[in-house]
Amino acid sequence: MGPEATIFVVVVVYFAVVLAIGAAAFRRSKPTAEDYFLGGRLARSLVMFMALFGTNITPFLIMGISGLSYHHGYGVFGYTAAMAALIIPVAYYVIGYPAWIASRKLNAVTPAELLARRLDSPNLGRLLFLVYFIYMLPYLSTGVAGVGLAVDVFTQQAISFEVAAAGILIITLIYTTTGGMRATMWTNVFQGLVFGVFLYVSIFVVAADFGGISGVMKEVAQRFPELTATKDTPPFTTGNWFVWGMAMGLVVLAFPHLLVRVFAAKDVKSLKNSIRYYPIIMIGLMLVATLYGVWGRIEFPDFVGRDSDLVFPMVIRSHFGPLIQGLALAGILAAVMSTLDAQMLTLSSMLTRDVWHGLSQRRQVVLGRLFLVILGGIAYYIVILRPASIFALAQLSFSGFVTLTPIWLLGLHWRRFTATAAISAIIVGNAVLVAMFYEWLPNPGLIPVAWSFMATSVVGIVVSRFTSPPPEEVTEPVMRPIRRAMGDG
Amino acid sequence: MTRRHHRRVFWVLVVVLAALHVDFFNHGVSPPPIFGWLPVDLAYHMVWVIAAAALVLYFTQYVWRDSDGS
Repeated sequence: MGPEATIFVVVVVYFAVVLAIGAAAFRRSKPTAEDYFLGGRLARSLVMFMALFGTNITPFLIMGISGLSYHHGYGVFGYTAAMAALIIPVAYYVIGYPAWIASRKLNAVTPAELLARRLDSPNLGRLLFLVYFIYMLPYLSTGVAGVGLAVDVFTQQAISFEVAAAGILIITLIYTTTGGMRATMWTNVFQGLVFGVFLYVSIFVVAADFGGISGVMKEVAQRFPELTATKDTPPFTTGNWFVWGMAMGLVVLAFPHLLVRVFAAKDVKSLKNSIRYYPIIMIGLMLVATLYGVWGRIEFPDFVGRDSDLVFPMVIRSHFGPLIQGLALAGILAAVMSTLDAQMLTLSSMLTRDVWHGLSQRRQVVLGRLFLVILGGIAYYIVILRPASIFALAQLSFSGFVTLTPIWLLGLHWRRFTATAAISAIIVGNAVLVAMFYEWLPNPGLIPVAWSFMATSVVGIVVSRFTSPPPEEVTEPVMRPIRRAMGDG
Repeated sequence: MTRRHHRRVFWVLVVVLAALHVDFFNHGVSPPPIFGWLPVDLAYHMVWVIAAAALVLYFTQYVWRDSDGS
């Protein structure tokens, strides 16, 4: 069997396992929206952990971070990864935990539905769907593009970028439309294991080929000293360093597909256990991705611009035989599919719950499935255009999600917060973000997300002061349990 | 210590760690690598992550209650 055939067989076996898991989940499911979109809210610690882990591991992490560190060196770890180890758990406590309580009290299935009910405004739910949809598309396309690039490298163009991208979308659509949240969480356990184990083991093998960790580090220092010392120049200026670090931590729960995973937790213990070890394991993977990028420069020193996204698959290809290459490709597929399924399912649930009101349970599920197919088509179109590097696309998308974070903080902790304030803050915050990104507004320093975050916060607080909050009978059933849970009692 | 005290300690440590993350004192300098191969900047952030992980263990144990608010 030739190398490409071996890779193909490994990937096919992998897909068969994923589809079998999806089918098993389908057999356990009930025809209700809560079961389809939240797996019946029964996720325990291990499934929660793997679901969060699998959902949060993306081509941005594998190929985006390694692509960036290829150009900017070890500093990318501190810039992109380190802060998340602290800020993600803090965000779980100040946003995820109260949101989990509120989702139960309000019987909310989606993030948009939760805020719309908490602030008594269906229009807020529709606006949130629109904003989430806009920012999700570029993020979703980074995953599919990552698969396209990896397959292109591993099969030496035997399977083209376009065919690979279409293939991953179709497979994900099949098991997501049939199995819903239970299928995506069960497959995440398998996919997270495949990906995590592969990455941690493979970096040691690559280091051994270079003569050991100290050997490869010394070689980098000798040949590319600029990669070993972080300078106070873009992208690592002091202000950006802090802001981007915060954004990378806050973005995790700003992702609606991650917040929905939190809603699915069975109890507080499951939520706490899932967050206890996951940052350190995930940040470890970011370190591995950084090392792949920097060490890959030794073997492939000529990448320019976004071509550095290829460094991870290229290093794997040059250090491993076809069996392991097949596993690596399956690992990338695992990372993509476990995120893609959650992203698509969440958007589809928001459409049927927050935009199209009054549908029967069965019609919600049917419309959700139809929307998934349309969404897949749009994502494919963006992937084929591939307008920028994986890191650049993800940066735009992440900034958009983080701009919404103040809405969550205010909505879950301030009884006085109003729907008018939320809608105004979302519009102004995103207008500031877009204007800064396209340089229509002068930037006095810091990256755009810092200004859009501040704009959302200020508008949310000021407008609330001048508008009437929802009546107590709407706010108190949610705010009282949150206060009680987070107080000292 | 009461939960309130633990919460105060936790938030103070969050601010301290966030401030230490901005290691401008490491930027633009090239001290000799640790053990002859590990860049100081990278080692600094690895130690920072370990400290953050320890703080997360502390806060899930002493600050975050097992309550669903009912």
